[in-house]
Amino acid sequence: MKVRFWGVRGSIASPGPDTVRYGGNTTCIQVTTDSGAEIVLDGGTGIRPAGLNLMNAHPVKCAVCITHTHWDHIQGLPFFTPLFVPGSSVDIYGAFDPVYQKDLKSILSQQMEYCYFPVRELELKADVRYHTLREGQVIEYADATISNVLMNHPVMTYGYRVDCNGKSMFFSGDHEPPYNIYNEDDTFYGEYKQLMDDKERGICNLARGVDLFVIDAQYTEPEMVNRRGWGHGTFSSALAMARRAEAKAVCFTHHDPTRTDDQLDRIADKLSRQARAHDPDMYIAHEGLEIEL
Amino acid sequence: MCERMPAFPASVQKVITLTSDINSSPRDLVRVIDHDPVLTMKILKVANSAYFGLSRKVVSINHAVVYLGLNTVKHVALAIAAIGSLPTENDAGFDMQDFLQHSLTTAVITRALARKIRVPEVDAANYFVAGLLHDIGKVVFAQFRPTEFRGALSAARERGVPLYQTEEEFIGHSHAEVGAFLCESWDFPATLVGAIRAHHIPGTGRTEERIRHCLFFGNVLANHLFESVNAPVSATEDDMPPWVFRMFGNDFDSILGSIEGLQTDLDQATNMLTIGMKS
Repeated sequence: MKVRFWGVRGSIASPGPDTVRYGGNTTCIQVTTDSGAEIVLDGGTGIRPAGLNLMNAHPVKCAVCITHTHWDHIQGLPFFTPLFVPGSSVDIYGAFDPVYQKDLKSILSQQMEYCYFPVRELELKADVRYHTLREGQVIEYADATISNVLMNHPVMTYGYRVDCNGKSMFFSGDHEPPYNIYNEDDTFYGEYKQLMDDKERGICNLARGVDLFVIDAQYTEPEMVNRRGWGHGTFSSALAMARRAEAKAVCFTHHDPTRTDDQLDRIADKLSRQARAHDPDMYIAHEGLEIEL
Repeated sequence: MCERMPAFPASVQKVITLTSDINSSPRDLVRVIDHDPVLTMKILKVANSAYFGLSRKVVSINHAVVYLGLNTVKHVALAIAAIGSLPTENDAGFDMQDFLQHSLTTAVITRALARKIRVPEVDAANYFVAGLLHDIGKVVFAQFRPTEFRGALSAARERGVPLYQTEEEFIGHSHAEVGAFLCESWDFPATLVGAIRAHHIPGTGRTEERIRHCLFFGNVLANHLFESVNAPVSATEDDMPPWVFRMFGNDFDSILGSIEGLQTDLDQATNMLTIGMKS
């Protein structure tokens, strides 16, 4: 199984001289299984180059698993070339929206409506199938098994685990470890804490022992102080979760758009200096990074 | 048919106020939701819908917040608030304020009874929800079958019999059955559904789920504490099967008196109502 990063940025694409080394495209990860089946995780702006790359082996057959429908995870989809080419076959998976009561197809079609995009979803030439996933639903895709768990983000977000021939990776999508809304002296503090612990246990159980844990680490601890509730993790919370899940390697991604290449280099240095014995191997995601499992 | 059922006016207004203020406390929002039977029911419906909630049934608003995320719960609440408010006057002549008072009192007492028989705190939240929702069928009747419900309400008063008996005569079903049916169709936990369905049936005190014992008796004690305008006929100590006293204590007043913090919890719940009505 091979994991390749096409977009590692969070929130909004951020090209420029300060992001040229790690990359400015928003989230997109390509997982290629042992048999060559293609699974694309998220359709941020990184899915545009990913699509062009996939077109080298036409006809394209792939699965696209959407963690959630915030812009930085779907904005590249209308520029995903295989969708426009007859003969391509694309299965798109994602969660149901309980607020607007909409399935994935309705949400994704909307971003291709007249005022946003010149081509309607109906006009796509590929064979496109949408699948609304229930939480915990396991799907078999070629020689891979894809499972999901609900994460904690301001919209319904699935983390995905991909297994193939004994190798595995987990992608958190966007995730902030929940915080207790009660003070320690409130009656409900204990109950809430137990619910939070259960939730984290559920996530770690799904990700248990993966060869690669790819996780949202948009912020540093000092930045997090003013960003609680925004739905993202920090390098420390991400590492802590990877440790709890006993991941063999962790890859930090979803870099803040203001995060410069030099800052990421410094963070990488600091992480490697502070690494404990038996810690997972650590990577900072950058566009073009390929990890063979 | 309940998709369009609005929530109570005070909570609708508070949800709108709290969700418009980016600095408002999530605790305050949870508190408004978990004191409103309609908001609670609808948010639990989302959390337990077939798309989610597979791993474990979601039985409290705190659980829904951790499970679905704060922002999703907030937006679901806002979408419900956008439907409007339950009218304070209805064609059935059903007193909504009295209903809320009784539901909240039952919720608080049922949870207190759970703690008294040492139900773990995480499960006690389930008991609060059972109390809050046990009479939701009455709101459904007031909204959707007002004429028949008016008949049932007057007949119960005139004949001095419990409302659920006249409901069966006038509507064909009791509020307990309809409430349970709704909760069941939305995949709420079976124990909660069973307790709501049987909240007028004493049972044996042995074979049933504990939530059923607490809800049955919580409802009786709530009526003992505050006489309901909607359903003035309530069970007395003489109507109670012996297990009630074996399980909870010697008589209604001493049982109520022995529940630690009951008055504070009741005051807080009532406070939610009065602040809402004034604002």
